[in-house]
Amino acid sequence: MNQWDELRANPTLAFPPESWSEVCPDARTAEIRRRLRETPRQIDVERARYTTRSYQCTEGQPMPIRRATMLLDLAGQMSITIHDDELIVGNRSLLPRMGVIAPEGAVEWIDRELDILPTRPQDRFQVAPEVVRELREEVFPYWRGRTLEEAVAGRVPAAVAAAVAGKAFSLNQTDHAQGHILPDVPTWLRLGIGGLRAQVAAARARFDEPNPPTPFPAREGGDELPSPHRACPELVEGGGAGGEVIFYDAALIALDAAATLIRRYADLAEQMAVDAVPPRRAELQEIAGVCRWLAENPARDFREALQATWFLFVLLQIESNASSFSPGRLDQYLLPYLATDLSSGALTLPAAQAWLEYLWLKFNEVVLLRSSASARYFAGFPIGFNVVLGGQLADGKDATNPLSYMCLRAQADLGLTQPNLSIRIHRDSPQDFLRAAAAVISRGSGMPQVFNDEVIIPGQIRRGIVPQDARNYAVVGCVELSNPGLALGWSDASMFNMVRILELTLFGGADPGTGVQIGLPTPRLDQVGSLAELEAAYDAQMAHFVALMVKGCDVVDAMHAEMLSSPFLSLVIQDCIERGMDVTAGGARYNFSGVQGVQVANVADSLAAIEQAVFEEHWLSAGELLAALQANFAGRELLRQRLINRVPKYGNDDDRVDRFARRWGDRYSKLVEPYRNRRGGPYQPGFYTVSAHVPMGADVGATPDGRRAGEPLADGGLSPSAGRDRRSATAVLRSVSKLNLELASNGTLLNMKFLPAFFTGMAALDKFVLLLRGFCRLKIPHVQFNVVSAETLRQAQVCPEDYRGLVVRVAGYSAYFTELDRELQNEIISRTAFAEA
Amino acid sequence: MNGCFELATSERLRLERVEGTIFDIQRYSLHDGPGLRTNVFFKGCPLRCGWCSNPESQQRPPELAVFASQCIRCGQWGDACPDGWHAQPDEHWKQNARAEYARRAALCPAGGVRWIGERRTAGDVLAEVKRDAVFYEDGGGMTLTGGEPVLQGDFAEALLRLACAECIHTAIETCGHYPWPALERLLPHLDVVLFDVKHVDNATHRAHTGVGNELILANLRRLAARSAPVIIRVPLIPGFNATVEQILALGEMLVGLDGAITRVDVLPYHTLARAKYAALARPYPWQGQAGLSDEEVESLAGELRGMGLTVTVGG
Repeated sequence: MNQWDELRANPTLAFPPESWSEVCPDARTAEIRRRLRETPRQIDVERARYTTRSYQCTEGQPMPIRRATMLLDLAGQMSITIHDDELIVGNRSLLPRMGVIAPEGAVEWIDRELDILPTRPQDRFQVAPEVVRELREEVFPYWRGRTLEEAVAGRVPAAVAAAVAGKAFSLNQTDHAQGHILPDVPTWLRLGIGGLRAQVAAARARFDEPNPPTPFPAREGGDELPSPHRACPELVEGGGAGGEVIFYDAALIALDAAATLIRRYADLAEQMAVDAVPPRRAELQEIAGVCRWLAENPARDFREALQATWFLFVLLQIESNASSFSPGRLDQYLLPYLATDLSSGALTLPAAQAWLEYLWLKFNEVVLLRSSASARYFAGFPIGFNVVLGGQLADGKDATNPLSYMCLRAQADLGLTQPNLSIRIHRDSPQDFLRAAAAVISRGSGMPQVFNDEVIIPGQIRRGIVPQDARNYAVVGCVELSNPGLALGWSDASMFNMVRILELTLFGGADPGTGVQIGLPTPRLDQVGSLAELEAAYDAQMAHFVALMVKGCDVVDAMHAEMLSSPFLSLVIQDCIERGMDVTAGGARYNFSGVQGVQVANVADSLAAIEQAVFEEHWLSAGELLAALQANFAGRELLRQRLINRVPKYGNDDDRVDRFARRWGDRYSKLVEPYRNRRGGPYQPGFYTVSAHVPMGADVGATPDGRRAGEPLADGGLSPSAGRDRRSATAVLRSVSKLNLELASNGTLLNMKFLPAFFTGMAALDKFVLLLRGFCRLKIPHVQFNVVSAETLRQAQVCPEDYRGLVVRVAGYSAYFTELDRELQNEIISRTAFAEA
Repeated sequence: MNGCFELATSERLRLERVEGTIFDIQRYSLHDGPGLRTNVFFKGCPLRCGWCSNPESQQRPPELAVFASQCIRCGQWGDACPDGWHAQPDEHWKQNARAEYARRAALCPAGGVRWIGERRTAGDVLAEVKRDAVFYEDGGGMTLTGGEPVLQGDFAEALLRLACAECIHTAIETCGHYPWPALERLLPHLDVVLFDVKHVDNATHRAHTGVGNELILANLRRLAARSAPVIIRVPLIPGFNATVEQILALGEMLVGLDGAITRVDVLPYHTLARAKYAALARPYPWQGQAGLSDEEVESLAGELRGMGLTVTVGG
């Protein structure tokens, strides 16, 4: 029996229980890791330099051609390097982790922040003085008046701009490309650059004939899509008749760019091999051979597949410089190559594991330079290389395979922040797989996150995605749901602050601090006679601001299509080539815009407090509550405590408050989903914030749930407010499950915190898996588990109010961490710290 | 699973109205029977173990507790709610303090001053137990614990019968100290019994738990003979039974029982309850005992395993 047959019979051999507590990357991996850690983050000037020169040379040409030419110029001119320890090569900047500037997006904020980048509070970068000079003298002046940011600012209607300034919602990706997409990795691997070139050429040839095809041919089998995912040509500027040939010409240039870059790595490796000593010389020769082959041809084995995958993401990043180009289901895409090599004996399992980890390391070499404002929303350079394991195959059968286990093991071995690792689970997920995933979760990186096929797939189908595509969903960026190689989801289009809008509603549409009217004039809380009247006003405000948000997003979307056409990306999103239409213009098979409702917990808790205190038990008058909120509870601490502790809170499986979460979460979804974006697809709601609950909380005054002005909102998306969930993990899950989350098809986020003891030993892992099974049955789309650190527990001693939900579980005993005496808390903290060390 | 039979509506309504005193319903319990469970903590216990980790479970009537660490200085009373709130030697002061804190409990915004224990109907408790039904599918269910559930026999039986009718797996954790029929009446509605065994020596047992062990061991023998699944629960208490000698004696007794013992859970001594004693203003009898190291616990568990018993640590 060869190694592949053995593994196929027992996939757990790829990550057996006895290795769960080990950390065993090979020596090369450890060395690369060390190098990455020690490389300081610097600002790269080359992307800006060559983009500027390229744009200067292409003025007057159609935008797709200019974009493709830019990519070709960058591929030919940017400095490249191969590090001494690398076997998988390539990066979008000379050194890893460089802050890359795409001036076509924006230059203003970069100019403004250039001097503080080394010292700003979040996401720092070093900048060399000559870089500052070049940017200010040679780059920025050309771009003033030509950037996406300025174009968007000029086109956003005044009412939308006022709502954004009033903090009702944000408009995202106004200063860089959209990203947030899953390229068609399997097709890229299967066809290679040559195969794609042939496909483009064939599609283009149709337009050389006397009667060019209109519209583009029906898909095989003639199964027209049931849903309105097709852009109407009149909606898409630059699309439709005549645009196709330009699209194809741009695509061919983009393919030349890809081949050029890969060939340069082959040349460099060859050159370096001349002076290298064995065994490095042979390694470099092999690198040269692999690159030379991939510059034109499809991958043939596991190593080539890994290298080709990485080149794909390097090229996408060079073209767009955007967050969240996600690899998707790598355990499916790479499996055939692994099988070939293990069957033939070309690779052993440990060698294949090492190769996989070299790719994993590469995912940590790209960071995104964000403005200070944006870094507050997405702190810590998340670049969103999301890899998702397991789940179902297109036919509904379980998809878990040996590579799924190898990917878990890579996360265990490396413990790095990228790829952002996820698993998909469903009712028939193997117990072994869930247990192995739990073992990795217990290491405390928050990974893998867990996604639930039982609700996500029906949700996708509801949005008009055909079932076999829906079953093939993967995760974009943080938690967004999309379809690999088929969709432009623009999942991070906007964040809609439902708490801010509730605040405005309480004050009749005006900002309580400044008195400025931001929303519709509706009655204030002290002018309504019932909660129903208040909710009617809230409904009107929500509908008003959702309409404005959609208007704003449409403008941004249109500007992306006009200014940031992406010829290379369009090669790896299906239907763009057949239709001759850029992905930004609506060439993808499925087109969405995702907008997030923020935050259900604070809305539910606030409405429950108003209902109980003001309208049912009458221990608080509406006027008194408004005054207390305006004063940020100054001198009203007792009232604040009553609002926190004497009113039911979301996250405790208490229907008195959960019904508000359900009502307003679902209402937001229903308000969003009728809108169509300009690419012809629907808007779809999501509930996640990543770290945005902090800055978005800063935009909201004191709220009736007892939250002080400026304090963070509930975290995650669907999580209860910090410390308000005091019953149990199961009660939290039950509360969350009361929303109709099939509607939240853009993605949701639920964070849960556990003490490390919940994961100690096989029996504990099995019990944890039981919780996962319950989560699966409750049809909650996502959950992420944080194993609390000693540091968090120390914080819980300082602010017990925020950590009341941390439970201690011992046989026959009931207690909360915050109720233990100090000495015992310290003991648990030191035990936790010991386990971390 | 026992039963899963229909209850006549009239019978169900009668059972739902039966009342008992409990002090907590703890969902997502992990160590008190198979799967994920909801523990119903009964109030009132015939034993007074010095190491008890739920001192609030011992007396049946509701009790006042002051968790001083949760005091948020709300300012309602002018002063903070202190530790050792009625630990003064002066009886008169104690009485006054009790009245004062009873008043505060009604208005404490932080839940630091509160009554522990409440009368609930079986229907009400079961409704809460059922909320986690989706998590019970892999063998989990309801565990009656405490305190001593058997002491509130009607209430326990009502809960168990209602649970059985809902096809919820049932367990009880019991100290074993009562006349046999009290437990016997519950057995038809139980899927597993978690039976506490603390010490084989009668005098030592009496010295540290307040009662002798004759009744307990006699009940255990009867229970074992019933061939109902039984899990033995042994608290490992330093200064009481956590020695090789004592554990061997205990193991010998268990091995001598007929084969109905599914497994033995050894439950290492811990001091997590200290804050609860302070809140109840009671002295902590097992103060000053050193805890057991993981190695000591493992070695004692190993002794039992050596006798052919299946043993878990921590349940």
